[in-house]
Amino acid sequence: MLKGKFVYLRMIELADVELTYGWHNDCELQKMTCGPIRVVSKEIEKNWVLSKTTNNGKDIYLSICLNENDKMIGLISINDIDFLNRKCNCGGILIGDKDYRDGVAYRESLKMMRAYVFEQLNMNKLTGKCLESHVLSRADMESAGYKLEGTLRDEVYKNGIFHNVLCYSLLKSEYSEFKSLYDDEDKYLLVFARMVRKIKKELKQ
Amino acid sequence: MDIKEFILKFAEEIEIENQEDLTPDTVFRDLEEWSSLSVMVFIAFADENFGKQIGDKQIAECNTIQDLYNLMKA
Repeated sequence: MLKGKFVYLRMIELADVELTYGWHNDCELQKMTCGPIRVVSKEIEKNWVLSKTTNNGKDIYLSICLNENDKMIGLISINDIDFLNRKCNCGGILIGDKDYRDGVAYRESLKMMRAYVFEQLNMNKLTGKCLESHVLSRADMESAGYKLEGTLRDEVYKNGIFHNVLCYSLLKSEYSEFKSLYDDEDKYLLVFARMVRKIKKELKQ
Repeated sequence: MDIKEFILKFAEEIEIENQEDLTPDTVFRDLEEWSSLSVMVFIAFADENFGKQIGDKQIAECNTIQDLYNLMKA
C-alpha cells in the first residue's frame, strides 16, 4: 500500500468492480481519456478487474482510496512494465467520484505513482500520453518535468472528431531534479496552476 | 483594482459567457463554467495579478465573487 496525506493507493480488488463498472460506463468521464468509449457489461467488467487483480507483472492497477474512510474514489495504472529497459507507462488516472475532482487526490496519486515507479520499481523512464485537449493531464506532466517526445496526429477518434495525442516521458534523472518541487506542496500547486492557465490559453488561441 | 474590474477579469479568466449577469454576490461555484480547472486558473491569476499565493483550500472557503475579491485584498 502506498500512503499519502489525503489518499492511499492499493492493488485493485474484485470488490471494486461495482465502482469501476460505473466509471467505465460513464461517457462523460471517458470523454477525455485516450481509450475508446465502450459500454461494458458487469460480466466484462468483472473479468477485467479479475485479470488485473491476479497479475501484477506487467501492469499494476491501483485503487485510489481516501485515508479518512477507505472509500475508493478512483483508479491509476502503471502499464507495460519493462524490467530489461527499465521503463513503463502511466496508463492513466481516473477520479471517478465527482466529489473529489478538485485536484488534490489527482495530484497526490500521481506523485505517489512516480515515487513508486522510480524509487521502488527502479525504472529509468516513465512515459505518459494524453489528448492534446486534456488540460489537467498536460499540466501535470509539464509541471512535473516530463519532456514532450512528440505528437501523434489524429490518433484518437472521439466525440465526433479526431484528436492529437501528446506523448511525454520523464527520466529518473529528471524525476530526481523535480522531486524537491513535488515535496513542496504549495510551490508545486502554484507551478501546476500556472501551467493549467497557460495551456488553457494556448488551447483557446 | 476595484470590485468591478475584478469581476471583469474574473469573467475573462474563467471564460464566463454572460459577464453582465455577474455581481459581487454571485456564487461562483454555481456558474456553469466553474470547474476544478477554474480553481487552478484562479490560483495562477491571483499570483500574477495580486502577488497572492493562495491554496485550493482557501478558495473552497469562499462562496461569492466578493469573497474571492476580499481574499485578494486581505
